[in-house]
Amino acid sequence: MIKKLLIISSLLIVSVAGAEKKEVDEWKVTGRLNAYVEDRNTVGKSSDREGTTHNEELNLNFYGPFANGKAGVESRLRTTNDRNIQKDGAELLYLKAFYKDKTWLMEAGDVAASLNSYIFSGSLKGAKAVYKSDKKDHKWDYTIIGGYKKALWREVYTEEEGEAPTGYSGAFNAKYIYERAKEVSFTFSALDTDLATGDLDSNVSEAKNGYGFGVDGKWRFNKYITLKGKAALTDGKKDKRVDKGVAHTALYLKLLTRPVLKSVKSNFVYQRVDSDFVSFGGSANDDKEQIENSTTWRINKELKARFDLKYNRDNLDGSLSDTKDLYYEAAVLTYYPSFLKRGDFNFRVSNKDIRGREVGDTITAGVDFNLRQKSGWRYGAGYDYSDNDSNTTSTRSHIIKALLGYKQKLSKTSSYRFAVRPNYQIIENSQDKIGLKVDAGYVYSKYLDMDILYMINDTNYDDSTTSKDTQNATYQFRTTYKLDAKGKNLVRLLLEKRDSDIKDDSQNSYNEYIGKVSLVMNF
Amino acid sequence: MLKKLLLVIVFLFGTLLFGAGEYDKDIVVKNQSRNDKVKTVFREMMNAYEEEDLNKFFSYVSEDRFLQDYMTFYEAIEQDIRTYDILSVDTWVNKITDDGVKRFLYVQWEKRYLATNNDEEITKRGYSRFLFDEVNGKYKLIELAGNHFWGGSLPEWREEVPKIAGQVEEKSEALLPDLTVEIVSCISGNLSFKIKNIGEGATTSGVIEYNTKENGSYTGQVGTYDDDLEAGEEVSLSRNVGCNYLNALKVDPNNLIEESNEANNEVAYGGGVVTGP
Repeated sequence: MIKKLLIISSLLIVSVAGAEKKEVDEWKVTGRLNAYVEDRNTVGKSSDREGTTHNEELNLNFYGPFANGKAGVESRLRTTNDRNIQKDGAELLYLKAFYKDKTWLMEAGDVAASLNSYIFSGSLKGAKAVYKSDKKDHKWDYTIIGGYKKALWREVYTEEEGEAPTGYSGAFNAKYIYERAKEVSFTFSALDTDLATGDLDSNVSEAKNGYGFGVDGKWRFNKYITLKGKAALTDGKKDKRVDKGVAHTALYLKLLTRPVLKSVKSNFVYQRVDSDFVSFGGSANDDKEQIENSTTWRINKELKARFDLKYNRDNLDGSLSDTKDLYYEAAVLTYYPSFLKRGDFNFRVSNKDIRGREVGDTITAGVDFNLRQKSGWRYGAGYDYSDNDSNTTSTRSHIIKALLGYKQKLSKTSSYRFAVRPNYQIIENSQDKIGLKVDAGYVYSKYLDMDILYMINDTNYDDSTTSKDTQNATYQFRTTYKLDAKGKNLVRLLLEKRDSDIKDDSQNSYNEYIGKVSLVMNF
Repeated sequence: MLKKLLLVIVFLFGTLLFGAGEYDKDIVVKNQSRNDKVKTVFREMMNAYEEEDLNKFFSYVSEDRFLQDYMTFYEAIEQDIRTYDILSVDTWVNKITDDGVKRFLYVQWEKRYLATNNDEEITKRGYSRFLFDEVNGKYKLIELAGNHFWGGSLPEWREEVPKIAGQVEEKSEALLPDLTVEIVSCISGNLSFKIKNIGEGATTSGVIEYNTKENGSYTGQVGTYDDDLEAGEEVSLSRNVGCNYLNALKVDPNNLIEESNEANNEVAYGGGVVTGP
């Protein structure tokens, strides 16, 4: 415990130590307070969101000149009595101290890095330093990051029920920039999990430890072809508790070429992730080989086409009973007719075929039309079809959607709008549903505006099913009053009623009433 | 002309897809507006998702820089539209952490929806991470992690999404194993059988138990297979039994492994009558 506190304290000191104040700008405090009080009342069934709740979120930043650069602290705190949001009444959500100058950035607290995504990507409670050479090319930049893998500051000091075991993680990245669009980057990351902490039973997948090394980069050969790629090698254990499950070294490779012609761009992707690959700081979907192409062709001013082709398979080491092969093809055609300058038609079709260990075929097709007129009218219509066949079930669905909207200015600061969105869906031999969404808004001045929303969904099930018909309706009113012309400070009121009716089932039907007053203040 | 084209290409492929990007030159002032921009983009994406407007939704996703499989994500959002009717969504931004101009947005959420394949109203809570990158001055989504806020209806997409610290355990959406057992033969006291995992997820217990029913009861010693079975994997095993008295074979007799179907773990042999050599 004391050791942890010392580590955190020393990390926080890193960003402010050994520097002198520079008389350029003044130190400032800025922030934002976002607060609300909400009352929910559910009639008909019990709900864990019932009652009056309050929530206050405060962003507080303190920064100014320091040594040859800038330094500061950023924080975010929340207090609430809503236990669905957080367990404790008050929570420190974000804390970061930083120092930066022309070449250095040093941070402590909530720090993040998005490096080679197979090797390291995410946030830690810890420290980060970035050195960035001020040369334009032929230069090296470095990033180092380390700390605890924890979601909340509270979890650093206390152990919560269901909390994942503590992971100590770090990464180092060196990037060489030969010149613009020609660079290569090397990343090393490591993770060690302390099994003596946390709730391992519900976080088995977190019991891993190991390290990884990755290379990524991009190279522009000429104006037609650019190559991007990343590769990674990791070694460690999927599950630290047992001898088995040692992840042998594995190789990731992703290449992307991009020949740029005047009207065509085409991307090729090849990815192979070994069956036993484990990513210790980044993300990876193991046991996958994938090849895909995506081509966009601007045929002329009126037509644009896009074609997607993908194949992937698993069972790379042959340990499964059979391989799952997936073939996917899709085409999207967008038509911008010259006689409708603010309108477009969109046609799309796709086919997904799964073979081998699993069997399934999904065909989808859709068409959309959109038109926005200068007069303020907006029209839209769409149809979506899907046919999903597996070896046991077959589902065919049709969705029809429409949109009618209007927006009109009354004066420089006043306007109104409305939109009506009906939709109808049929799932063959199962159900049909009809829905309607109406929303309308009125901006009275730059200080006051209001909106209303009405939404209804009616679902009727076929007699052959055992499901009961349902109807869901939402009525909502929102109004915002800005306390200043720029809207830095405002008050908002929301009133809402939701009805859920299940035919012949009064036990699960309910009505919910919500009232909410919010306040936002920037300073 | 050539120079212009070169500049455009350099701009397009310029920075930040991979590797540690540049950090902001004026971090304090721009941090505020950048964080606000990211929150605005996230809100616009939520609106587009609720309005089922695919074009608008994907105008906030960078296809070029997307770190996961873009095609699968597109398919997953299409599938969501067909599968879910969103009734209400509440979100609470917990924090925004940064790496250069990139922003990790951490959001806690509660989503209430009707699933078309299920006549029940479902409420889900989760904690998700969204990575945004700046593309031509606008923030675009390039990675999703944690609980499945978007795209959860498609199993292939669920596999693409990495876990994060603090996310809610999603038992209903977790890919579960489904163990079955098949008797190959029972000859001269040697029972030869196969355990198959026909589910979508792997077993994680490190051990799979099985037992034989002889003379009408499971009194025999529990056997173990000291390893896990991935989805689709099978293992051939054998044990010594009295074939003449064998009635059934059961995998996971003590129900230690959570399965998508717990009712198909047993296979009868000989219909309970004395069979075999």
